[in-house]
Amino acid sequence: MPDWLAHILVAYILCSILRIKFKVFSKENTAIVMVGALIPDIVKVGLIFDSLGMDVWDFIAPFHTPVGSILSAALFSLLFEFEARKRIFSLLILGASTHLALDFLLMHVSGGMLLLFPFSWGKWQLGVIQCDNYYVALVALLLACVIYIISNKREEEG
Amino acid sequence: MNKKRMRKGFVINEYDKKIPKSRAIIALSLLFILFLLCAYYQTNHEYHREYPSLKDIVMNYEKYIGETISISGEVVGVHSTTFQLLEREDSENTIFVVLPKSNVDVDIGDKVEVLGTLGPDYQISAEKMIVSERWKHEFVYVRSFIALIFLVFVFMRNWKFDLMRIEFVRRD
Repeated sequence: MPDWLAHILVAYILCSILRIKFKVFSKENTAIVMVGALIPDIVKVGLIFDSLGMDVWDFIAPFHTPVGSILSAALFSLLFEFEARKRIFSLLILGASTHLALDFLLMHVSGGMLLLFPFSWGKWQLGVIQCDNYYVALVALLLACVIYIISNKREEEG
Repeated sequence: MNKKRMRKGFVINEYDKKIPKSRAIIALSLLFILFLLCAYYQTNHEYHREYPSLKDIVMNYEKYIGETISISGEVVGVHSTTFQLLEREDSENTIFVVLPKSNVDVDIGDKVEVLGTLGPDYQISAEKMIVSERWKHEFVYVRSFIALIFLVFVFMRNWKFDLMRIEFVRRD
């Protein structure tokens, strides 16, 4: 995985760009997309079990798939007001999609992402960046800062 | 007709009352589907492995000599031309001796993914390797922890949890 900083910042940058055209990407909804950007990494709860000496990775792996993310997003959207639930679900899915797209870039010696699970066991990867690469986070951080400053200035002027 | 009633000082209408029940049913259904998905993966993933698992290798070692295997783990020993890689799977620890194709700079604590040919005595002739230095993979966790704190701050600035309705609502 690229780190969570990269994931949430990419979601923030995307929402900030989309906000120019679509009003739905307000600050509140951007926060939802950012939460969605971490949904596939629910699977990282396995690290807690690791520290307890339990290996649960072979059970929870589907959380890091598109279908698992859709189900998790649907579950999480139930924690929001009824009227907004559909929109919240869509925003969470958008966030989760940015996560999966970033992880698709990762490089492994074998395997990859189960993009079509449970319909196919095929694994895919683009093999562009290494898991510990911090340039993605660094570039995202710089871009996010620039966007934040510009949007704040616009708000003050407008 | 507006059916409203007072309970503990809060106004709850009939529509809102119905939501938690249906919500609980939907939540339980989603959890059940997620459970099925996970159970399906756990029972079937062994049959769809590209390369044998550590358990398979340990149990039928002779069978896999000369075969391509894929392992990943932590470097626990470094020698002049080889290094030792510890792989953990299902609380089972196995140490492999990796023979890199060319000189590779690894240190104790680094994480390494290896694709290579299994030889006798848990030796692997590496064909493909990805090395993650210790500080780099530890830095991933540091960045992620900072991100988590930042996300909680951003989220709670825009949303608050309504305990009565058991849901997040926008802050005005």
